Amino acid sequence: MEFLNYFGNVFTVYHMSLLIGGTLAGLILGALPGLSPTMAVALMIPFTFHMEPAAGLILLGAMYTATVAGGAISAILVNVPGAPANIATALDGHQLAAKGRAAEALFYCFTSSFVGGVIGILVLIFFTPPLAEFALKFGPTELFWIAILGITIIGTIGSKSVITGLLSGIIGISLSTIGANPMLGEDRFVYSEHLESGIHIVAALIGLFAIPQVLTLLEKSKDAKDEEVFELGEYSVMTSVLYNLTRIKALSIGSIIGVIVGVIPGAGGQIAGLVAYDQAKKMSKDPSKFGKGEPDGVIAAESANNAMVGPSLVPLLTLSIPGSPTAAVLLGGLLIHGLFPGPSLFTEHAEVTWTFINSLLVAQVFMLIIGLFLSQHCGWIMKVPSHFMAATIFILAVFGTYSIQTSYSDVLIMAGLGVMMYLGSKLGFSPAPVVLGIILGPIAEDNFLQGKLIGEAGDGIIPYFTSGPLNMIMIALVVLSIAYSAYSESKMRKKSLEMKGAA
Amino acid sequence: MTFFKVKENITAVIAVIIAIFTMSTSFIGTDAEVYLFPRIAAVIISILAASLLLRVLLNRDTEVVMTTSLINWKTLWPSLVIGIIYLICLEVVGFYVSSFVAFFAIVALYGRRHFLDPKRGMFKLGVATLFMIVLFLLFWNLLHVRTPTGFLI
Repeated sequence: MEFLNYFGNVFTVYHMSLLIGGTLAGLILGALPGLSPTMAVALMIPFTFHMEPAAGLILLGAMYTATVAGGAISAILVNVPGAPANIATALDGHQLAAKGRAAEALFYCFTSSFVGGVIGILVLIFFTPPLAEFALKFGPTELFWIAILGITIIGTIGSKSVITGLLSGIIGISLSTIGANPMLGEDRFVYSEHLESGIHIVAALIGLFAIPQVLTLLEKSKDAKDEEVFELGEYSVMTSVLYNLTRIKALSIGSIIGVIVGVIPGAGGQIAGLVAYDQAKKMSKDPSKFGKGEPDGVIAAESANNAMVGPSLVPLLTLSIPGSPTAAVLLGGLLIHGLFPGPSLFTEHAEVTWTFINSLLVAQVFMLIIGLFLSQHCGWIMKVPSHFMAATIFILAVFGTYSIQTSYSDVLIMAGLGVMMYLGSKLGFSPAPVVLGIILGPIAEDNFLQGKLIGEAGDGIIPYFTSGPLNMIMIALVVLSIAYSAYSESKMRKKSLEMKGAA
Repeated sequence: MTFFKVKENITAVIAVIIAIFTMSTSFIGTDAEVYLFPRIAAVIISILAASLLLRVLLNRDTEVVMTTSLINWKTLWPSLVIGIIYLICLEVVGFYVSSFVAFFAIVALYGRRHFLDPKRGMFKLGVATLFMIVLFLLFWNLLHVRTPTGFLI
């Protein structure tokens, strides 16, 4: 119960105002169609750089949890999920809105997000410390394989194609090698003065996530049509909250699935929401109601995608393997504050870590209160034109990148990476593995070189890197994640070919 | 050239170009000890690029030919030009003034209504001014964060 010792730290005026501000901003940004939670958190990282670590992480954590819930607003009102995590919410939420019950659907969404979110954070509180203690056993080879495992999992499970996913991750690793060699200190690939300090994590995060979004928003702005925004309708908050809390089966299905999917690295909220929706439908007494405005569909999907948030941080805080793309961005946030995932988070930095985790619990309460309030006044959010959003994100991206090291080179790197990622995304490359490659690349290289020195002095490099139960488990997991994803991909290809043949 | 009208084929060719680039920059005229890790990464990139190329060459009968361009260059080029000019001006003119101009240029040129529509133009100018005032008050006055400066602010 160590977390209780630091609970009071959350309740300072400064931290509470950050929580409220982060939650409100997260809900609004999440609700804007076309803005992903990952980009919102990435864009916010530079603003936390000058804050003390606990305050910065509180702001990022509040935004993470609120953007996932906020995405339900556009899913329900205009049938455009604010984030991939809200795809399942749109299935019944938009149908409820079409029946004039939009406010009711939004009340269900925030109440279920609160329940799922609290359960998820409790899992984070009780499961993280023992796993972090286990990570004490890790030496250079285990840390090397952990970094490779993280990149492999995000690259394979989180991508449509195994090869392009892995390629994205390795390209990220290659980009991370620009600059000085960690052991010998000699420069590599420094073809321009702008590359002398290598690629800063924040420049990479903002460039890879924000700039492609800017270009996509601008691309769509010319042919954008006004989406039909349904009226919110009149409905009692208390009635829907109480009704929601009686839907124990849908809440339990959503929360349990959200927790399980959250712990699986790389899976993310989209899978949690869709699996929970599917299970709630299968276990329902009348599955035919699903897709036609069934509250249980919204409740299961929303409790799942928010229950995923806490557990997605378990592998991140202990093993530096993010449970979702947004958690990968949060890893960048931890590193710029000098916090390295692992046991030291709960020993040397216990105060910062527990304050951050506790703040996530309190953020659920604010998310519920602000969400319920916003549910009654949120129609205007849908009307923000995409080119205004694009211009705002672009200026903030430039400012945020520059402010980290007051470096013009970082801005140029950010813009260059962003344009390349935009072109890459059109060809099936995804930003999350590249970012993780850039973040985990130096960790992998550092531990590889250390392990190489130890191996050379002992039985040899390959036996040193492949012996021991932990190394073998991690190598097996790397192979398994690639094999499983390749199998799923080939199955999907076969299915789509069969469908084409039938058509 | 129907080969370049298939998305997967373009991806494979780009992957091969990246592989050639990383292999040549890691192996040619570099120190083996300093470049050991980048060399391993370059070899893995080459293996993945080769398997991607092999896959598209073996699956020619199942490829889907694109009927439209992958990227809408006609819509995007003004924003890319604005972006480049903005980045050049950032340290010459100053952050706030160049950001104001870039913001206004983007919102003026994009959107469905014609950019010369005076009523809409005034609204866009108002939003750009308000946005810059908020940024200035927040970063310059409140947070005292350093921004690029030139002959203006």
